[in-house]
Amino acid sequence: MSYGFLGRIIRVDLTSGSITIEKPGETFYRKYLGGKGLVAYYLLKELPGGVDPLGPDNKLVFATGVLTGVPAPALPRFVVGAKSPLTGGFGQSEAGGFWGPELKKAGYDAIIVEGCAEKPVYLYIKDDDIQIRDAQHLWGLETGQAQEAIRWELGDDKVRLAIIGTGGENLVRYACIINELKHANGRNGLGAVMGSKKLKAIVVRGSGNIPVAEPEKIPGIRKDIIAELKAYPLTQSLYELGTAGAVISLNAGGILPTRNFNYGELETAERISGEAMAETILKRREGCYACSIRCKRAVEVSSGEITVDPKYGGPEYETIASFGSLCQIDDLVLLAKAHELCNKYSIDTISTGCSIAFAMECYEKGLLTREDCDGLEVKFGNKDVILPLIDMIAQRRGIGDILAEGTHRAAKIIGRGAEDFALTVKRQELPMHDPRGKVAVGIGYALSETGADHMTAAHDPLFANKGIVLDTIFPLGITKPVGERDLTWEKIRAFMYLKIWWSFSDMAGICHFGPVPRGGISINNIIRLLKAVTGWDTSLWELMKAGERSINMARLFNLREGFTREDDILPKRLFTPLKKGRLKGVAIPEDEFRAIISLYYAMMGWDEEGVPGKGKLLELQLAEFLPMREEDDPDGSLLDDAELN
Amino acid sequence: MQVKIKFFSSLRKYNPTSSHPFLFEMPGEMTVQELLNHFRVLPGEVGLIIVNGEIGKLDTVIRDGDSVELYPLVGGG
Repeated sequence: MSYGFLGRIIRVDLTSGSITIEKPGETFYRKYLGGKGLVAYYLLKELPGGVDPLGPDNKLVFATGVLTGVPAPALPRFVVGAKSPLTGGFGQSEAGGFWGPELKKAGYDAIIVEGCAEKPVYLYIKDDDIQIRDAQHLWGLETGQAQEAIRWELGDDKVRLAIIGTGGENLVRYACIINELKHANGRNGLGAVMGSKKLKAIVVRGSGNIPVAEPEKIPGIRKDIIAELKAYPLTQSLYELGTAGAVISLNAGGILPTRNFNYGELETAERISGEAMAETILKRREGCYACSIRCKRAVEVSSGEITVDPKYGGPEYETIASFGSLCQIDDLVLLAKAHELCNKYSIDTISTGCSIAFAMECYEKGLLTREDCDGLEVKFGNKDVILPLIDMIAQRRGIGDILAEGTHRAAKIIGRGAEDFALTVKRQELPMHDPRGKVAVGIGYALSETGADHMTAAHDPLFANKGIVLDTIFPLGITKPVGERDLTWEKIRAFMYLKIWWSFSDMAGICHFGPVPRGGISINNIIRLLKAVTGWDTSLWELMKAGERSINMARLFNLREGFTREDDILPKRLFTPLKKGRLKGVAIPEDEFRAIISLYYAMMGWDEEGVPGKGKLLELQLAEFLPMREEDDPDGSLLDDAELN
Repeated sequence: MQVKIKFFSSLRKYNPTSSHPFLFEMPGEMTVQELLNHFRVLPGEVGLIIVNGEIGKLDTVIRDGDSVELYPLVGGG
């Protein structure tokens, strides 16, 4: 009997139409936990190097974790992975909502999608009934229309759908996957991979239960967790103001990304704040499966020139900043509409906003003309261009066709120095946190296996001061505050431990708003919960080693794709001073930054080029992924051991 | 001895008045830390201190007529 996981994984080949169920054993789950661990395992094991991310040889993996769907806060998450069409490397993106728990109730931990359908299809999973169904009539529909049509034709309005809109169909390199119209596997262009396979949606409905080893313990642990969350100020703020609660503070600190990261301040930032949203367009606060935090927003605008439909939820901080301050726009209704359109088309709001800001800077520097932009005056602050450009990107029309390639590729097409305005790491656009005011965020961007990503480790302010937040991570051995802009060995040590801790969450199905230090759930209660759910006698040690394992596997994937230490670097702009805001004149010192990356490699047991050493990979039981040379394993014993794992 | 205080975002709950900013009568010069203690703000809850338009610290001394802005810790996301 398995607990926490179902022990069943669906493998679908869309080329041949075959559907099989695989049953890895408990050792496999204890080693990889699910989520990022499963994705890394299958991508590393089964994809050859150099595969076309938008071709039939790429594989798309949907994976829940061992805690996904357990009825307690912050456990709704699932991970989608593939080789990314945006970065060309390890592709991974997490989402909350209800889809992951539903898949487990249907009896499965994960789905591996292979091949490419001849005509558009969707996958329908209802317990033991798994069908590949025709979706030709759904191709070209927005996510909301397609969801409604599928629920109607199945006669079941309770099915949960992970779906793409036209952005995914048109292979926008940063297309995302949406569930419940408002939760996104946002980054890395995984919606384009789905589009390339002509897979419109994965529709699930389950009637089973997730097996738990000690079910009698869950209500007590849940009660303790809810109490911890309720008492934690950062969690209270998420409920009250949502993620947009960050706008005012970041702006005051001079690190609200503005004018394509030239400035750190928007003078009218209060107009696009979480407070402004709560006082104007907020319809209700929402949340994910069994979660008490309720950080999500639904916004509504029912009259006027622009209307906004609450069924698509509401804009997160990232969306508000990427279309707002980054483009110097302070119209909250317009930003809410931009959010709604991106969810209808299934395109990532961060990369879409960044692509528009990039185009604005190109336009103002004379690299793009009005003629190039289909008559639009693509200047910072011109709110008339935002919605048309989102349309053009999703439909790949005019300048939108170039911007749909992502700013890295768009800059190469435009040339003449446009590369300086494309702010990416590993070809993925920067999220809305300026590392010049919190350098570990920049270290996180540089070292993220998926390209620039703000959710790979806790941000510096969470361990910069003594008090109730720092206290929560004493069990990780982080007991001394490290200043936000310090680039010291203590910074990299704290970052490394927190990145490993966050990677564990991405494996187990835990939302980063749950556990400390970002949320209020103590490390002790996460372990109590994991023990009660799985029945394993486990510890923080074992879980941290699992997190470290997944980081190393993703690293190996990227090395195989040709990434080097030169890809673990920030765009030049972050090494140059901010031009406006309270941190005006502040830059990250590039030499010190490069040195700190080397120190991270050393602490991780990697060589100077960032290649995991043989000792490290063996310690993490990853012998089968060791770049094997004959002299490393003359008698074949390492590989024999690997098979036992 | 009066100072002008602004609690922002999730710190607004510590504002004992309905005006924003509000005036606070100090018994004498205080550090920012002492001011936070007075309002029972939890240690580590404040992420950014601005005193008279400049970034301040917990040991910055507040004097008559000063303006203090207090912003919560921002976690990212």
